Amino acid sequence: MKGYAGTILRLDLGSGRIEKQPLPGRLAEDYIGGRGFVARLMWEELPPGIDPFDPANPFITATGPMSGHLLPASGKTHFGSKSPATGGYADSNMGGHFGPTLKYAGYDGLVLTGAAAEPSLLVIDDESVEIRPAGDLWGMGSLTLEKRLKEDFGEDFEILTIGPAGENLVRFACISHDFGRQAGRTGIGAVLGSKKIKAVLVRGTGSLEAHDLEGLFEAAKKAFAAIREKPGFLGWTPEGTAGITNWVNEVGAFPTRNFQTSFSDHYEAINGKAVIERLKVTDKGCFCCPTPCGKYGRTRTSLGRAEVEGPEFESIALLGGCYDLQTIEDVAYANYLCDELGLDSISGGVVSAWAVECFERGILSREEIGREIRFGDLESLAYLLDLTAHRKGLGDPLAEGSKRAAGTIGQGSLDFAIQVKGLEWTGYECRNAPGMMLSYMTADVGPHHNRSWVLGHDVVGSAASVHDLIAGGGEVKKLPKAVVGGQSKNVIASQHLRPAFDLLGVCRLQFMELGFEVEHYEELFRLCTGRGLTWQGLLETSERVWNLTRSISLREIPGFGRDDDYPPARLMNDPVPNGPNRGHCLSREEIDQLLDEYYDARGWDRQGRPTAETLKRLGLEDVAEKLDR
Amino acid sequence: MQFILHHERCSGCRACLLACSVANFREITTARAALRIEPRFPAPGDYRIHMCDHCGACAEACPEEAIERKEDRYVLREEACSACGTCIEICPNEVLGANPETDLPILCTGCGECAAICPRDAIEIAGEDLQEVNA
Amino acid sequence: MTEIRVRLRLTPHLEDMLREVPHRLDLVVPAGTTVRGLLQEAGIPPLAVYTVIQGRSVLHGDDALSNDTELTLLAPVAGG
Repeated sequence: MKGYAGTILRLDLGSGRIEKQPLPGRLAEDYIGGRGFVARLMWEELPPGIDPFDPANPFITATGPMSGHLLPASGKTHFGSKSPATGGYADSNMGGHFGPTLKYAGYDGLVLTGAAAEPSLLVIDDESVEIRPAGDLWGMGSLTLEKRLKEDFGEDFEILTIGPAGENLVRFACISHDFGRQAGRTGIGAVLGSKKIKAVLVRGTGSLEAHDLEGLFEAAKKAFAAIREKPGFLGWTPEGTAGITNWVNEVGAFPTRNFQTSFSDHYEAINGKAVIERLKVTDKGCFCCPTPCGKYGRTRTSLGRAEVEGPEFESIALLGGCYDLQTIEDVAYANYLCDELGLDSISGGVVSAWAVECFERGILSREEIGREIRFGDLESLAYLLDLTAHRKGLGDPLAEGSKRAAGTIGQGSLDFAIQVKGLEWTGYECRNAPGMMLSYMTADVGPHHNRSWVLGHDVVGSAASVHDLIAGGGEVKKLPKAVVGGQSKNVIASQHLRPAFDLLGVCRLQFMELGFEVEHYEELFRLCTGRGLTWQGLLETSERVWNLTRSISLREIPGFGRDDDYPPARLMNDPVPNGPNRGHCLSREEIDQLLDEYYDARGWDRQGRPTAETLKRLGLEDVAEKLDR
Repeated sequence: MQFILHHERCSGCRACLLACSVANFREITTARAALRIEPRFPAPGDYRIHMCDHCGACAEACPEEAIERKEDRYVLREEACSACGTCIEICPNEVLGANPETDLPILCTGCGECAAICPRDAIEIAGEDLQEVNA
Repeated sequence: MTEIRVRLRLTPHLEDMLREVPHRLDLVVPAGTTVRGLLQEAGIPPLAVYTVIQGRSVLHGDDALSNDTELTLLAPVAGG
């Protein structure tokens, strides 16, 4: 099969049994790759109803047909498993170089089942697959470990690591790679930890076969040149994702002090400009990426110095906004701590901020915590992150994520645990952004901006008359209350579009940020695989995957449905206290209206279950049949 | 052909390695290319580009005299090469690799595809207009 | 008063955002019009725009336009 490596590597860590399975043609045709492979394999191979830390929970790694090829931003790798955070479907992806190298070693994907008897390294060196004892590496921080393994094994190995958080089964532990790339979300790192895998190393010296190598080379050169000509090449790349900070604050969507409000007065100290001027050493790109969003730099704080990639926007929003750190140096240092400990910096920021609010309200005492903790205080955040990663003291409930921790601690603290389904919210506050709110509520893995992002549509649509916004120029002091209704069309389109790139194995940012044209993807896909791809067809596959992932969560979580799609009480009941959206929030009735419209538009029932008819329309007859029982 | 290396512009994407491999070996891989990107992380936190600078050390070291100067660069006479690997070991820039199928060394052909694909102009061809090379 | 012609280009995401907002992409405005003023004249809320690019440079809201030109408008889009 051209474009693909042609093999899925399966390894049972309990027995040591290795199987090299030819990539099923039907899987490639119906699900394309990446997230599509993750979803289908999970549906077929996850034993229903098991605990996420049961050894039988498969840990799936998947690339796409375009991964590793000579074309722009072909470095994405996807991971999937039953989610430690939500108990439902999970995937998380990262850039870097691991996926392409896995393909050069001969594998489109990797399925790990079982658990090793002792802490181990998985070493894939082309055909050779070996499990080695991790020895004294267990307990080591992710960045320290990657450096050590590069020294021991050589620069040509690409490496996945987990930190102490993954070992200690923190439900928001990440997987780290390439000194600053993370598959951060859904607690995927804790699944590797439960399997006692401290690191996965891969070296690949083989090559990929393209349907039309000459054609691909020519098209790739044109594609790289076309991207350089895009105005966004200069308008977006220099600050990368952090560049959006000012705008998010100006439209009153910047999560601040545990989402108590949506406007920060110190945003200029922690924005993209601050990253460039005060931290940056070099632009750091993923595989074949012409527009590197990674900004690698150095920070110096009261707690010490560190080298760190980022912070990108999400870390700025959740560590600098939600935890309210005041300087970019502090944000970068907290980012470094999350990376080293192996914690998702998004959930890490939200869970820690929740703990501070519990302390401020007298729900958690100084004695229970072990010290005073405050918003904006780097030392208290560092303390909380360390407790959490090691499950020490209060860190044990915090390691369970904000929803479970609120269940343990009670006293109304669930109302301000900013999560849906057990996964923490990301960097956009939505009390006056109905489309974005609906996006977060219905995201398949739990709230995540990489599923749907329509905040721009909300801002334009939030004016009772758009003339108010136009007349106000860039100096809008207060936005009008958003009109609720009609958002689902944009949300659904975005939920199909953004994850569509995750099927191909490429990054979406060249398309989303720069406007790199659809025709390039269609052409490059054809030259890689020899198969036709229409954009419409790609979006239809993405819709199939969306319904499949929802079906997996329905199968795995008892009683899953509409109740799991509501935002936390804070975001429904508490009007925003200041900033451009002061006084606004969405009512329970408005939230219900959003859900009803969304379910109807998706062909789901009002409990949020895809109807048998919808599943059949999407070629998921077998799923419809199983769910029916 | 001489190349000017702007290390500080390199973001480590490796498109140059793939372009080299495709252009010279008709293969899609980063494992066979006549240049090397050295990521230096976690510190100092940057990239170094290593390329053949036509120093001739390989030709001098070759026991079979299979590498010879031709105009501005060195080329391999494949029929004379015994695939002993001496040149690979001696290369001061560590940019000579072995083709795993033939064990023959991979020498820079000076084709310029690495410079042409680089989206950040980290590799430039000295004294020539890039557009002409691309055309 | 000298008039200048300005042509606006939108990224696909911005085009989508402005689907239901009446706006114009070809404008004739007095020389010296600021970028913000131009967007207002075009019927595009300045808050809907992430960055304005002229050739190889980024323009700011207060920058004044003095000659015929073409500007590209980027939408705010989440990365990460």
